Amino acid sequence: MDILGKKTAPYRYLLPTLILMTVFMVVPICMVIGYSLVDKAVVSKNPAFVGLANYGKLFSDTTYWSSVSNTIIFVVVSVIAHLVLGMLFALLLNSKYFTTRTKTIARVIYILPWVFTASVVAILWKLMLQPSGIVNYILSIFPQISRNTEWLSNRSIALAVVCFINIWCGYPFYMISILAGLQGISEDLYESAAIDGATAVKRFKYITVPQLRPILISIAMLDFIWTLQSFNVIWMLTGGGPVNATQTVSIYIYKLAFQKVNYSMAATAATVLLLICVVIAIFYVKQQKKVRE
Amino acid sequence: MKGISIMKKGIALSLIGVMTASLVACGSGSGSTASSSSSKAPESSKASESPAAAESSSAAKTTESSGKGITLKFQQWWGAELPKGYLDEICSKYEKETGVKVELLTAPWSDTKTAITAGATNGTIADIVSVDGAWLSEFVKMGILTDTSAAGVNSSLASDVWKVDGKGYVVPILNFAYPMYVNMDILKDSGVDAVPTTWSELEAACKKITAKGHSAFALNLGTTNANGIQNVFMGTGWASGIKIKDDSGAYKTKGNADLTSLAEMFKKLYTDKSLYPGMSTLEESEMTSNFAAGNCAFTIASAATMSQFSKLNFEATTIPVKDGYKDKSGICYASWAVGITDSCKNKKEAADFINYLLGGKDGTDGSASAGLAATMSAFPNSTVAKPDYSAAPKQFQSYYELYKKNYVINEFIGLPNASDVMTSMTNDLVKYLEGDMNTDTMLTNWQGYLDAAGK
Repeated sequence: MDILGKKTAPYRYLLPTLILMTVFMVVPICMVIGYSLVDKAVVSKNPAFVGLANYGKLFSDTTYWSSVSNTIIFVVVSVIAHLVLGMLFALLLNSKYFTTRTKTIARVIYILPWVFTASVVAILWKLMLQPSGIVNYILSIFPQISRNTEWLSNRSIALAVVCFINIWCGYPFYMISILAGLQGISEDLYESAAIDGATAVKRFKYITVPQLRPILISIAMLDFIWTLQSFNVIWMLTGGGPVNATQTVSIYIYKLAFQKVNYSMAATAATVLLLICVVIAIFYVKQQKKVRE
Repeated sequence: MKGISIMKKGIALSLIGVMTASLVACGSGSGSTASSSSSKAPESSKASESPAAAESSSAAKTTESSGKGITLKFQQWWGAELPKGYLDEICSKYEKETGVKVELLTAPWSDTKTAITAGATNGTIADIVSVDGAWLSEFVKMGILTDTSAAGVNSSLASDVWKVDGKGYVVPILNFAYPMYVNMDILKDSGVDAVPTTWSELEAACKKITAKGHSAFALNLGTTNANGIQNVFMGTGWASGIKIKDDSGAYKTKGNADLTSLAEMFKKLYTDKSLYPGMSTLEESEMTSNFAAGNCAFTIASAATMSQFSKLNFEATTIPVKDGYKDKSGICYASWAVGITDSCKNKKEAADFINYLLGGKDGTDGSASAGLAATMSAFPNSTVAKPDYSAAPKQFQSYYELYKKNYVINEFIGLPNASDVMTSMTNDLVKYLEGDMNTDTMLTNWQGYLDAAGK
């Protein structure tokens, strides 16, 4: 009995969490996958099984592909910019040229965009970017910008503006993670490199980046998954408009479900997104295993 | 030491219990979310942090059988827009008179549809739900609503009952008209002597206003809640008798000459730079906020938003008509309407509550409806309500006189998948105004969307 108790102890501790995860995660996911295989899910009392027909319809929808294209641009630009900006600010905060006090104050200021919730970010930026807002007021010193310049309402630049806002509110996560990594790199490596005559650029390229590589890959993958599913900020800024210019896959799914009331197709698109995220998550887990080894 | 160890284990176990309980509580969904301010329109254009989760609370089950001890759950957005406690008072009074308790589940308008559809999916839907005209067809198709007459709603108490295929499903309690608000200070500053009453006067006034550096006319073509095509674009059309339906009641936009002239009028406003900049992501709530801030000369918005403009020098009037149009003007309207859910176990009691809202306990007392109407600057759908508008803003009182001389119309009520159709129409209108589509193509596309709606 004692041996049985000891053997099952870990599972018993895990049981409450497993039950909750099953009820609130596994079951809903299975239901959504089930909805993707039927027609008129939720809206009909007897939805008909259609197999993979919904997937065929999805992949032949041009609006879906334009959402995919917007998503790819949004994700790639955001992740790369987060990486670059995060690295830049982390290097600044890790610099020897500032006092501890200055660095502490700077850290608090730099992390603020990440602290705000999506709704606060969206409202703030919407107010600032509206034609009569402060951005136009300040930038009107340039001849190309007037008090009526549209940012979020301009189809050709709306996606770029939304990317900018997403980059603004996401870079602190990278900054903090990279800063922690930078502070873990031994000074001896830099000293040896300095003695050997390595320039700052070479020290960065051959010491800092390789040492930070596991962290960079991890946070890039996490950010990729989060940005892929990003909904709140975009919805509150533009609702996927103007004319679907900022419509990403998550917005597309939302509109299918709650505007078109087509839960089957929404479930189909959501399942495809889930599969993509699972593939990336598998790479992430493998990466984490390598790091631990 | 043993005692300390036991105490530590006890604390750890209670913490686990509290965390588990809170996770379960979070997972069952949250109840009401208070909204900020006024207007029926989607508020800050935010659908909330987790749109799908803003649903009505807790366990379904309206409990008990007939007679005393019955609790009806009423899902609505009204409580978020009425003065605090107003709706609760009506419900408390009803409970005192009948013994039936009405539990209010309040969420902002923008979250109510999600709350209702989520509730219908997981069996937690309320007994009585407030329904927007754009949701009617979907809810009927989903089997959410039941026949109001069969449930016991007295249709003689209502001027209008919304029907689908001949069956009444939803009863409007309040009707909100959409006047055109005019900022008189901007007009004066721009040298516009009188409020325009025709399209050519509007165009001329907008030109003067824009030349003076003000924003002239707001057209909200944001698609988070695509109601600009209804309230502003078609609101302007209906004022001049322009319709999207033909005499047989079928939607007819392709080759519709009147619609063409309406589109061309807006195109002219756009090319004259008279339309408020940022229109393609402008939402109704932002439009009214901009007007309240004195940023725009002309805005078409719900009469319920009038209280936001108290600090402005403004007028509320009917929308300018097409040159030469002499008949009555159609006034766009939206409603606070209610339906009884098909899963309600106390349909008769739910019908009695709706009858109470319209005509009191005995069917002759319209005070609840009248009070709601006066409070929200709306018009009652009750046939026995006599609202006292003496305390309403003078602009509302003068608009009420105009309202009585004309008629209400909204051709989007009952349209299947109205949200989706209106979004598609809005996207095409944006392309048309920006010069990427011609009128014929736009109207042909609209015909396609309307014909395919709900199929």
